[in-house]
Amino acid sequence: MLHYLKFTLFHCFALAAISSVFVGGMAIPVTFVLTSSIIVLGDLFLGDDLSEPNFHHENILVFLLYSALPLTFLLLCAGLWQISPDDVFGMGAALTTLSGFDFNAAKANTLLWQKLSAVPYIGLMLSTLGTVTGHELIHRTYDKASLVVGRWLLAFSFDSNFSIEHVYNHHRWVATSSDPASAPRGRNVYQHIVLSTIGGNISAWNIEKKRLAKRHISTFSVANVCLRGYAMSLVLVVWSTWMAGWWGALFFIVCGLWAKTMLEIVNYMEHYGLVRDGSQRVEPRHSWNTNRRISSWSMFNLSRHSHHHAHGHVPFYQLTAMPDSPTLPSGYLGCMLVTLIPPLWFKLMAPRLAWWDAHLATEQERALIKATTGQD
Amino acid sequence: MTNLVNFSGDTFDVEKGQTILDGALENGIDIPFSCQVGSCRTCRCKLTSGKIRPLVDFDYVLDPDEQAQGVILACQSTPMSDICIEAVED
Repeated sequence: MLHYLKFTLFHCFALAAISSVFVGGMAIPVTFVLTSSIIVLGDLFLGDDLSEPNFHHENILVFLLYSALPLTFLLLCAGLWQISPDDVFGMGAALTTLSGFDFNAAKANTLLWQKLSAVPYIGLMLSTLGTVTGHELIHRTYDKASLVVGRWLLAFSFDSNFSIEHVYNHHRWVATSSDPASAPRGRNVYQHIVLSTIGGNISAWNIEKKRLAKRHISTFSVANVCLRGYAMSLVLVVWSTWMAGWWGALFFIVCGLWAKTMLEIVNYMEHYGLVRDGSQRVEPRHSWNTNRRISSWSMFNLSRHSHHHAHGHVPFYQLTAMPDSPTLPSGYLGCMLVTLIPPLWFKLMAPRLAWWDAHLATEQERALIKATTGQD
Repeated sequence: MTNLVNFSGDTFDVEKGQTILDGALENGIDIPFSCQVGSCRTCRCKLTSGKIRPLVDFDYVLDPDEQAQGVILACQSTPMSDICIEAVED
């Protein structure tokens, strides 16, 4: 039972975010800092979860994934309600009746900087609630409902087309120069955010264009999955405008782009500096792994990335720890913060890459490293 | 429930819902593979008899003429009957 419950840490963080954004005032920045601290410090001090249980109730785990969609939508609505001057849909009055706490009065007393602190908080949470679960669901290419829910979850970060690029390009070309999401040695995270975002969208568009051409369907038609993906995000922009006016639209766009930025930081660190000959099989050594508890539990084992790439069809609850794989210095959020200081990131990763070169790389991969960096 | 797969003369059982590739690997049959998500084309096989269920949209990775000839991806196909498949050479 505990192995099922551990994945509800994700939902605890979601409910804390939704509640604090509705309550307003200091609850927003305090819960933001508290949540971030629990994740970073928990990963630093609580060690690894190497357990590999056999789950017999897969439906519960799939339900946990699907429940991310209403939670993500509710979080966005909470943010939009908080920045709107009106009591949109009477949500404040209804919550006041239910709880006895005057939500509308609390909102009126919430300072501008406190409302603005919801932007990075919601951005971070959208990247966890939307992107992590969206990623898991779009890998279930055999199930239309999973693809639809996954693409809507990704639409919150303007990234529904991740469902094309990630499956049909990233997994194919990971750790090679043909993959926009794999960062070569020496590239800093800020360059990567821009390059991977642009490269990923171009790649998705070209893959979709090619698919449509095979069936003699016009690129600019409703059959274009990329166009439908952009339209899904546009629907959310229109919804935000409807709920909270132009400021609502701006609020959602900034939160969504923040979430997309978080995804690209994750892409950056998941494969930073690792190399592979594109004709060779993807192995666990081609991804940075971490088994830190809080990251694993709150991100549906996304952190078990070595197994995920070596066996991309395996659902999150069957991913194994692979503790001998190349390992990140800490959990996800901690490492993401380190990437923001490029000299520190390069310093932390240099010995890990040297170890990778010496102990895990093949002769062919060492030759590739030498060709691209000039290193022996 | 299982279906019998004949891969160029080697036979093995594949459980319901399991992919051809997973069944082959469990039985020590060497079908070339790499990405296992249906994007690299390494595990292409030609279906000569029987039915499969594709787990991805093959249009993303296979040309229409390949599909018309019965080419499938072993990592993204589950047998719906006993089947015969052959390796595809580049």
